[in-house]
Amino acid sequence: MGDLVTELEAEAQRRFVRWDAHLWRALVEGPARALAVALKSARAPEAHAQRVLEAYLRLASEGIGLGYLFPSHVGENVFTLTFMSLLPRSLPALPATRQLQTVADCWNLGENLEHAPPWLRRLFLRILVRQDGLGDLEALVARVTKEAVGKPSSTLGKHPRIAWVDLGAEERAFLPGDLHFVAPTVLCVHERLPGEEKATSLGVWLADDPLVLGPMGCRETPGATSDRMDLMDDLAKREARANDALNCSANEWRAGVTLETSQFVVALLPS
Amino acid sequence: MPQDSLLSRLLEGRAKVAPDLTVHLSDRDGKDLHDKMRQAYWWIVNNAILCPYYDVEYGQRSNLKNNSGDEVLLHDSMSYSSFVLVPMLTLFSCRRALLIGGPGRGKTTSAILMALLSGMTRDEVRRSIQRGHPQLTIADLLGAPLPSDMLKAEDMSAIKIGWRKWISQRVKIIDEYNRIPTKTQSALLSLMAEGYAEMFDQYVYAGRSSWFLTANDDAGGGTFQVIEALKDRIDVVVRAVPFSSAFLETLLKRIEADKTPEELVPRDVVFTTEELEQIYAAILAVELGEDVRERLGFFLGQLDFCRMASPQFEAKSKDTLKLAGQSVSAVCNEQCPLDKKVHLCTQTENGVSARAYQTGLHFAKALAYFRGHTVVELEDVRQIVPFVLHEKLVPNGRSPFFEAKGRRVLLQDRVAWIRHMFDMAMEQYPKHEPVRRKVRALREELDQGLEGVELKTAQKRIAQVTSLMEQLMKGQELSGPVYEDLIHLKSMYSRYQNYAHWLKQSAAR
Repeated sequence: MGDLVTELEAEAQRRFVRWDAHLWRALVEGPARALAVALKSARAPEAHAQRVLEAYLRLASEGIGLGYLFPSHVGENVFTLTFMSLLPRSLPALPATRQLQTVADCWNLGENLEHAPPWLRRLFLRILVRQDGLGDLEALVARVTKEAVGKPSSTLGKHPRIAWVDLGAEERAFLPGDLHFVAPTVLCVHERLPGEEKATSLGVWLADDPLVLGPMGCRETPGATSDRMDLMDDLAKREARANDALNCSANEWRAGVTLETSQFVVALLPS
Repeated sequence: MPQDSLLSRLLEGRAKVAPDLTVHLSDRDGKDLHDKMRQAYWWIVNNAILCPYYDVEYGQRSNLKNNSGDEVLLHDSMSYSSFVLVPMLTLFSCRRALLIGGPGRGKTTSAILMALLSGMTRDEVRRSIQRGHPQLTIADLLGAPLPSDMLKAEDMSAIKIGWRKWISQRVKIIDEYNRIPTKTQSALLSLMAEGYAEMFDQYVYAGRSSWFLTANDDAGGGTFQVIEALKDRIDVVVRAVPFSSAFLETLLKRIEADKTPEELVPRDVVFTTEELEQIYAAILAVELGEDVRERLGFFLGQLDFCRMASPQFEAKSKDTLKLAGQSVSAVCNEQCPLDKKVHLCTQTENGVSARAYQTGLHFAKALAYFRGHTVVELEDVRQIVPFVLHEKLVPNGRSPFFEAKGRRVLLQDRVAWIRHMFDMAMEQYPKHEPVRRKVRALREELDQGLEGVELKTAQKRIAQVTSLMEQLMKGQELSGPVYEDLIHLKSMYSRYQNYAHWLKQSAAR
């Protein structure tokens, strides 16, 4: 491994402007070493283990050079999650025939998401954080794709199911204001602040079990929307806590309501 | 890209498992080229040129002042160093830059770095640099006929020319161009201006290329006077900046490592020919909206005007003075009623050519592209125009404008002076804009064509044009912008009159 590490580092130093030698060292001594040990413990044939490790290191060095992989104190993305944590942890447990493909899949997913809308990056990050392993990455991507972007099969109906989503748990001082849909089931909630420049926005995936996606960096300025008065009236009748609706955004399948005096967003889902 | 299309390909990408069971990563395509440009820029600033002077600035500004009136401006958005940025924009827009400044300030290094970014090897760059010196002949510069052909040839077409290789390279570096003898400068001029060189009825073409010329002192300090036409072909001027002692440690490390910055250019920021072509095309495709265009026109259009140049209306330009061997400073006096503190025409000895307009537009687009934008902002124009006009505008040092407190210093710094003029023009623009809008509306009507326009309609439009001209003549003093509008309106008037005259003649036949 030593020669390969030195060779990749020397090559990367020549190639990349933003090569981070410290991060590379940390990766080699941490996750890469853990992967090497785990592959050995899993009794993978040496030649195969070497190939997996080389693929992992080669792609990781490229990721550092391109700025896809960054130190944990800067933040987290799908790249850092998969290369620093998920791959070293779960790769040895996969069938040998799947290991190299999974390394390649993680790279492709991470790189493609770098060019995808922020909400999609956040969505995959939040879902992958919950994963124990990368056993069926392909199926996971297909499911998320279908559920987050495709048109849901059920429409909202007259009396939708109510789910309360606490945005204060994500950002302590966040007070939900205007909101809009960025995908059929993905809601972007803007902070209610008079100085709009500082206002942030949080994403919520209105899945069966709604998932807060975190900061969206949305630059849109959604206007106040209250064209679904029927939904808001119905909500007020059914939920005493929701009688001070501030804003509502709805599509055929989902709706979100912010309240005057709450950090919660009320998600309306098909019953 | 549609979301479903993107999602269907989330697991497809550059990483593939090859049949030999290795993971192969293919090259990136060109979709992040402006990001790559910025990476190259930051690498140069942080590792090669060591430049702490950030003078191309964006965003809201705040200032720090001391009691003596010295001021430091702090902007809240991205800032760049012109000494690195402008050569880079020259490289990507295939233009011609002159880098001026004292010896050892990094002019040649900057030009070499640009050549390396374009994919040339260090050996190629070293061999292709043309170093100006008093004995440089046309043959040294361009090449020479093959001696054996000279003896055997019965006509000129049989003489083969051994053209110098640098001529067809994408990046051309002429070091100390003001040390080149005048005759050789003329050969250089045709190569720079027309893109080809000729010898014994044979031609060599320069192709699409970026030029970097350096000079220690462009104000006559070279061995030879640079011919005006050659100077005029230079699109942009960049001033070298002094070394900052804050970077002394980096210099020490370079000595200890025995490496020059040129040896360390990362491959990641080297552009292929295809990438350079893609960027060139993408820069041209950057949008420049009507408002920005109008404002730039408002600024540049008034510089050529001189009310005192001629009694004839059409000849009130600084060109008239120049052709008569006169200067603005000689006629810009109290006999001209225009307020010299307000009107820009007093500040310059000349106006700018159509070539300068084009260069300004091209560089503004390049700057917007570099910043990752698809549309040029007014601030892009404001930032880049001083470098484009640096050698093109000559200040009228005797103008009363420069006599006011704090203005004299502008004569020493052309970038600051031109930017100051630009700002003055932008302050004046809103006041004049309603007139411009009316002129534009009349122009748009004319641009729709005269086919099928009846005599009655033409006469109605003549009346509208005349009425607006009358308003301008009576309601406003004859300043640069008003003069431009009047000239424009008069051209419309003449076109309609010619058309009406033709209609009448046709009817009479």
